[in-house]
Amino acid sequence: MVDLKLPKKRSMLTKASPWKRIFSFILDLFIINIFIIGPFTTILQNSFPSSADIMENYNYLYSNPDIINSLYMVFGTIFILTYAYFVLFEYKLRQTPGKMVFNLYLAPMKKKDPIKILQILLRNLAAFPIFPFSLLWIVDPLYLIFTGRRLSDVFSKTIYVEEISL
Amino acid sequence: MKLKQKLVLSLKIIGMLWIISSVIAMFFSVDTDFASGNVAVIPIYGVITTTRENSFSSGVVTSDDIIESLDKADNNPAIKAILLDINSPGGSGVAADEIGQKIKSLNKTTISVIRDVGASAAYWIASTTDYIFANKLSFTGSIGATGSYLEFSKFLQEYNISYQRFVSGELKDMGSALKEPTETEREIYQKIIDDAKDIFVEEVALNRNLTIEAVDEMATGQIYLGKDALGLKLIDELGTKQDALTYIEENLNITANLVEYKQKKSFSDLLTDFRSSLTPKIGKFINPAPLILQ
Repeated sequence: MVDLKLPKKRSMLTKASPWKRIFSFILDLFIINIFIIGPFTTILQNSFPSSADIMENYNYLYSNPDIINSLYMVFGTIFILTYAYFVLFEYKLRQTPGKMVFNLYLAPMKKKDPIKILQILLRNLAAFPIFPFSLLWIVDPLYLIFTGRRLSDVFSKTIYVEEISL
Repeated sequence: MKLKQKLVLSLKIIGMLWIISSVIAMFFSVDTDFASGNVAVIPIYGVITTTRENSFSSGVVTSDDIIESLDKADNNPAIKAILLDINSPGGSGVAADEIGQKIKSLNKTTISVIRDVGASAAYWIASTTDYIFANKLSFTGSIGATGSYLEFSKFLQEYNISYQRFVSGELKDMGSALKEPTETEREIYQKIIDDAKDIFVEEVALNRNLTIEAVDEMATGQIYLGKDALGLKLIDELGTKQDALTYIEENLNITANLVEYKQKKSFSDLLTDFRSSLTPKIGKFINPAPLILQ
């Protein structure tokens, strides 16, 4: 093979665009919906009466506490597996499949520090719908839109970056 | 990390999460019997008892489980009718009465379909529903009570084993299999059995809108084929489960969408199910060619 002695690809890392992060998150949710929530679909569908009346459904669930308990278990499992999805991908690949599409990477706030598992566990706590983590469901997107970073990024001292070719 | 490696690792992670999710979902689907149809089918298969003695008791259906299913169906506003799918030789009178009382308290249409057999306590339960279907060959009826038991006193004597009797009252060990019952005990026992039969007769007469005399005449403990039971007004119609659904659709003006309220299975039942599902597979493994009988 002839070496053409082409110049090396020049690129730089910059803070990821909030819109790219949002779209990549939607892609991740799509994957989670198929592979994590998908197997529970039948159970969730069968948990409610076929009636469209919200009050009827409410009364049905209210009078069947065992169904509510089972739903807690199902949703608990879904949230734990969703948490595992983000943690495993970010720990092993530094990016989730959604982020791969947009070429976004997880990086430490300070370049010299490597990312620790604890930081990854911390930054994904928003996956749990339990107080106070559930507050992040509202705070994180707002913080992202106004500052370009999630509040969880600040806590965990991590940042999502994107590679831009020069 | 190269793109190919990334993709392989991604597939591994997603695959692992999917397997975990599927396994857990399977576990939940065994335990959940949530309703999404409008006709609840509650199977009553096997001997009817009040409680399950242990997790190894198989072929048994308990009044606790049936009542739980009836309650769930009653509380579900989407359920418009309850269909009891009966295949039981009977069982405990107390269990039958418990289930019967619960059925009578429901605000929904109740239908029974007697399959192979719906006799004695199972017939008692069927009689409390609004309408009874049975096959012309189904075994039904058997209105009466029995309290028979094995008595080993002579067997024990043959082996020089004696029964040392210490009782606070004459009738305290009545019904012991180790001694022959006295004449008084026989009379008391017979009276209990007769009284139980009378309660059964009154119940059937009330539920089926028949006279006590008419039911008492049938209450010899005899089983009747479905076709004879129809003539005796013990059932309302000869028919199948499908006929019962048509009846529900016509009377309630709905399109029947069945949902089965499964009962808890004993450990022994689960093992039997597992063995039943495995045996044909083992057979296929040993001899994959189909067996042709000529």
